[in-house]
Amino acid sequence: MTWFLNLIILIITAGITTYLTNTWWVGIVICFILSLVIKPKASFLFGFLAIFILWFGLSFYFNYQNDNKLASAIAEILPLGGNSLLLILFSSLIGALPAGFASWSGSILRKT
Amino acid sequence: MKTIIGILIAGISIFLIVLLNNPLEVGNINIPALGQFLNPFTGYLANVETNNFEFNKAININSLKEEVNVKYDERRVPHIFANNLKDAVTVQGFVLAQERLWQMEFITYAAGGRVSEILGKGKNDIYLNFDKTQRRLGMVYGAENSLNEWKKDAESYDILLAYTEGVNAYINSLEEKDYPIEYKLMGYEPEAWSPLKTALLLKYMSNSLCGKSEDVLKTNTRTHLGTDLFNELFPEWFDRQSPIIPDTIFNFVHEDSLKKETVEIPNEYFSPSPEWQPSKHIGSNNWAVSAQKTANGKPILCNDPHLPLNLPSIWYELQIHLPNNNVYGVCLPGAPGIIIGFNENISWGVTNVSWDVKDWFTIDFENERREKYKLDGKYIPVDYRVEEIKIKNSPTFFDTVKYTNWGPVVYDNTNHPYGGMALKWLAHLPTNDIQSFLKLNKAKNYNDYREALSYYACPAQNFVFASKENDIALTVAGNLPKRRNQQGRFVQDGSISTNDWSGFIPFEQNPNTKNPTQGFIGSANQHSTYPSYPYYYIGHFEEYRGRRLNEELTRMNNIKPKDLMALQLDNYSKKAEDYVKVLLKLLKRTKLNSNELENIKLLENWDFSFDADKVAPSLFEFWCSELTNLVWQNLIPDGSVNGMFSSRISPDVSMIWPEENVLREMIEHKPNHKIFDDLTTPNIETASDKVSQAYKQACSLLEKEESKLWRDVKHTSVMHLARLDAFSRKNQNIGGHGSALNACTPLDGPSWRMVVELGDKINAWGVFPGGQSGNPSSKFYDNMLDKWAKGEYYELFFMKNENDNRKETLFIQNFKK
Repeated sequence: MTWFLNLIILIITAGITTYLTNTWWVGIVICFILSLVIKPKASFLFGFLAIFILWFGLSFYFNYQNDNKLASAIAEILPLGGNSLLLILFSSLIGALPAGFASWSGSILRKT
Repeated sequence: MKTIIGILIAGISIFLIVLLNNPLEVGNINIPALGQFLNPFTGYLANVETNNFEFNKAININSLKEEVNVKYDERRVPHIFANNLKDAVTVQGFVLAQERLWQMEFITYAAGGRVSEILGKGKNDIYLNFDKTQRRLGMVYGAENSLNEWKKDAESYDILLAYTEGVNAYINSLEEKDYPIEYKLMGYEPEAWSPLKTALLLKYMSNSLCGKSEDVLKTNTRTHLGTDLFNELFPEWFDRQSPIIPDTIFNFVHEDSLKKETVEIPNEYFSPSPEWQPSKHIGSNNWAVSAQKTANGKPILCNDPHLPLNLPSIWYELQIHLPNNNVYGVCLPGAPGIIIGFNENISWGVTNVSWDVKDWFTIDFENERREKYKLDGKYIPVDYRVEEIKIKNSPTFFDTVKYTNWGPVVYDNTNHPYGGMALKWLAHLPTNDIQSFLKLNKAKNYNDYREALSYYACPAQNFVFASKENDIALTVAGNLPKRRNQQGRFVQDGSISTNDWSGFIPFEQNPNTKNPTQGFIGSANQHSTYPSYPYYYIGHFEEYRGRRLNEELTRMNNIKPKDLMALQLDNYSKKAEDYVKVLLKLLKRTKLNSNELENIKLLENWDFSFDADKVAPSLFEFWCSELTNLVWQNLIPDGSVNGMFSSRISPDVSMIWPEENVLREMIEHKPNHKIFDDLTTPNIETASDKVSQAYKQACSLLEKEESKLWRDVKHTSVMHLARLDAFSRKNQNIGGHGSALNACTPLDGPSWRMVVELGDKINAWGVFPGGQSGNPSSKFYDNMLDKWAKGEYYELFFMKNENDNRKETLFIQNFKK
């Protein structure tokens, strides 16, 4: 239960700090710091899930607001066959992967 | 040990972040920095425009003197309410940048040869070569000359500075996440706007509209064919032509009677030929109909400029309301004022004049050091201009261009140790064309209109005019060179200074007409005048549309605005009318199979309209192009002529085929001419053989088409400026043809259709193929496209004052100091 609570706290903190700094990797640093402080179980999954949920949720919402117009065009350019859901999943993975490693290393580097 | 593992894993994370924070090049594909581009905070999703999106409501710009309000109507057309012109133009700059920043800046990069700076050298140096060509053609040189001219006129320079302030106020308000999507995709940032960028934009337009030059091609073709055959195949006048200015007696003579003096024409091959030529389908229609011919007894003015069909759209619609002037129309993103439009008293529109204002001169250098060139028996030192071309991920490329009294030596590195070719081009000369548009914006009557145009230089345009006072007029405006007979049609000897233009035709003697007895005046890029005009001129004219236009307007009476909309959408082709009868007469029917015989009926029953859902236009188009190839490709090979080139320059010799009309003349009146005979066969072929062979080939080409309908065969696309398919709108369901008034070709077409009825109350309609926004995620990116394709119009909301509530306001932006 605490794990999920911590996850929610991480998502919110990562979201706010990224929004305020306009720097995409700040949320990943937050994953590292929080793991360093609280040493969560399954620490890779902890960071991974936090950023995945955050990015996926926001992307999905923004894309929904735009009737899928821009994301499907970008999915054509990148190229992902114009599949916007695939693009959003891929994007979320891109944020989540370094976040997972950051969180894992944070929990290992925790001395006790 | 644990610490080391921890650091290693942290290292993986940092490595991934660094990797995703930088753009990658995989093969030839540039991938933007994925972490930056794909994250939902600052990446592409930050560009998403929701359905109820609004711009920031309160904006502060330091240079504003008074408050300015901008009301956006339901199509997001801004109506700018300001108390003085400078404030209005500042806000215009801001609003344009807000909607179209990437487009307006990218065009200046292209104009000024700076594409490599954004995109790198490109495959086979394609971008670098493009940049080099732009620089060598003197695009930046010309822009700087114009800028210096503007600086001399404090009033217009002030306006340019005010516009610049507005654009920069917007740019300075941006954070990285706000940059238009194209910046993020290509990984660069907007830079500050400057008056030079406006000058570059105007040179970009000049290059599109008066950047055509066939001097080299025609010289080579004439050398190849010999004088007699060349003159037969390249006539300068057709009997069926219908010029812009009605046949009048001109009350002036050309003082030097230069028209009678023929220049010397070189009898040799030149190479290389200019690399880029504007599309031949860039042209336009405009006309004004006098009160006596209209149903409401009010003059009506129409304009539809044909330009590349691009997204973001070339034009941007707006209204500028000042205490003493209220004007509505379209502007070019990057230039102040309104280019085509109307105010409470007058309306005006433009088409391209198409006179040749771009001449090539051979340069004889003194020796292989190429420092001095011959002019009138003396050797004169060249000037140097160093072009610095920055290249992304590569060292800067420096190109030194030599300048002569003609202009830049564009082709310097030729095989001939002492040879070169210099360019004299109107677009190089210092001109202040913005001034003309600003004066037109506030013109009240015919005299104001003429006064405004007297400043206009380049690119020359047919300015059509109509006023509330029931005047209609047309002026061929721009600096038009005085030429001797044949001068500038071919490459000229640059060592003789009298080969230069003999100045410009005085403005009053430029072709123009006011209230002609025919009750209308129109232009469609055809010849300006009948041959009785006292000056010699050459150009790149389109005659089919002009013929149709003059015929239709002569025939029409009791005209309503909707009749003229129908005329803008007219798919009828004089080319088809001219050709089909002759083709069918010459076609040998004995050797045709049943399918080919069946297809004849399509053309026999055709009304010569290039309508979207017809098959006949597809067959006709194939037939004409096959015939053209069959007749000309052996006679005038486009590529190199082995063993026939002169030693002067390199072996690549380009030539040009005769105009469409010539082929029809030849098959109709000289079917046994030697050009139709294939020398490799013992028989003597005639036009009839070629026509029949072309017909069989055309039928088999048509058979191969998945859909034979004209719209699918033609395949008109509205392409994104950077050719990104995902941001383009392909295969529009539309008819039209380059030879029809509705000149929709695969990539070019009517870029703004406008109809204006003058009078105490102005009624105006318009539409363009795109939308107000440059943001591909906005519904205003392409919201007008479908209506444009269907041939429908929007009623333009010409607000009387700020409280004019006849239509809904989307939102308001307030600007103050």
